Amino acid sequence: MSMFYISLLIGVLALDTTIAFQVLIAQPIFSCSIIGAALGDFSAGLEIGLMMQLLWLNIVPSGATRFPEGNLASMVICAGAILFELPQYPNMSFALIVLVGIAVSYVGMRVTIWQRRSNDVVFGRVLTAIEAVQPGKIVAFNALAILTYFLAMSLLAFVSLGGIKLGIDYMMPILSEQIEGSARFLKPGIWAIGITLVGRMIYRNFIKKG
Amino acid sequence: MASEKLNMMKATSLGFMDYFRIFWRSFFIQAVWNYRSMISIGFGICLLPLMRRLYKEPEAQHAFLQRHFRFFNSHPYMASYALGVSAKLEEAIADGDEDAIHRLPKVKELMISLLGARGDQLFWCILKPFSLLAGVSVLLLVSGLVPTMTVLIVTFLVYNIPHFYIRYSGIREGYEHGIDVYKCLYRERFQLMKDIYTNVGMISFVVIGGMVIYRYVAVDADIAIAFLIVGVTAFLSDYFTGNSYLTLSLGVIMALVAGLFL
Repeated sequence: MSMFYISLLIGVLALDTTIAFQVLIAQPIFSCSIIGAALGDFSAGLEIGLMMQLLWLNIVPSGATRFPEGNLASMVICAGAILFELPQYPNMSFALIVLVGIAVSYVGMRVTIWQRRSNDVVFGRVLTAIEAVQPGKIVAFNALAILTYFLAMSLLAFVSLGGIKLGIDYMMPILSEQIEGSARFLKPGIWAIGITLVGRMIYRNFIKKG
Repeated sequence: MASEKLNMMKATSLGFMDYFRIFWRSFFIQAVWNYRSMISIGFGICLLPLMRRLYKEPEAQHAFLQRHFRFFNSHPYMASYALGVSAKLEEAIADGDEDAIHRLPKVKELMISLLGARGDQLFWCILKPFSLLAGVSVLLLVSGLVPTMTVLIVTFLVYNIPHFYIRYSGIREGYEHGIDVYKCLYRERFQLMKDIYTNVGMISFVVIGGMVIYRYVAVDADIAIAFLIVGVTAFLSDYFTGNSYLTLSLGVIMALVAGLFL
């Protein structure tokens, strides 16, 4: 599956975070497995999904909360790793992909805020539709909002994957065995971050409160 | 007395297909989430099939749209209770109950904080993290395509069975109990479910910790040291700043730095 189609798949799965369904299909263990299967490497997708899941587990997507788009970031990391990871330098290329993923989680959050602000304009149009008693138009605005978010997230995924490809192409000539060796603790490190964050969440929400 | 009167009216007039239409549309309740009216557009869209059934005149439809598209917020799953109550009151309004017109906005307003608090606590703070933790822990223990797929499906169901139940039964209970629906939303109602998920989640977290140490950390002293350094960095960053981006970036950078020196 090409970068274009995988970006569209990421866009569809990203809808699940807040826009539609919310059945957890966008959570890394599910979405990365799906992306892995779509790219022909289910086990690699699952492995990345397991690693990423703990990083974003403490996110509460309630109301007007601004939260990192961890689900989108995990999907980009997974697709980037399967598509572009260099077999001779797996750790260093994965480090670059993870750093891009963290940036994606921030940009994704900004895109969500932008979409919610643009929905304020949609609300104004809905009020006009109410005055004219046009319920069909209101349903159309609803569909348009879903389509806008899907396109925005697909575009962000596409640009991020393009950035990962460029970054890896640029990095390849300067990589060496020594630099690769310095990234050998990255995967255990990500597990360490995940376990720490989940441990803090459990302590804060349950142990401290009794 | 007024609540009894409302509960007596057309108690069975909402059929399975009506429930299903509202239930299906409720999956898109947050699609047009905005800062001015929160989830009101999605909420109103869920009730549009009811509007078409109850009101034929444009004036009545206009009044209906005015009542439901102004402002509303709730946890997306728990909003189903408000949908059920609104359907009940709309039927009363269609039957000519003037009282219901004034009650509807008040009831919806009162439900905002109750449904938000119950839903956030039950789903976002307990069911979501702990079902996913349980899934991750079992996935670390199994291997092979079929067992892995089975665990993924079971994890999906462990979360979504209560999710679908609340979405559907919320509409039903809201409709059946009318404005007395708050009696269905007492805190202790979900306590057993919360306790089960919390305990399973805690055990799962211990299993994940053990599996990660067994698989990735205990194989090499250097890895164990790097694991500790990154863990302590993430802890300090999260404790002092609470900034996710900073915590993750610092952790990744510290893992790379540890690789240079160990």
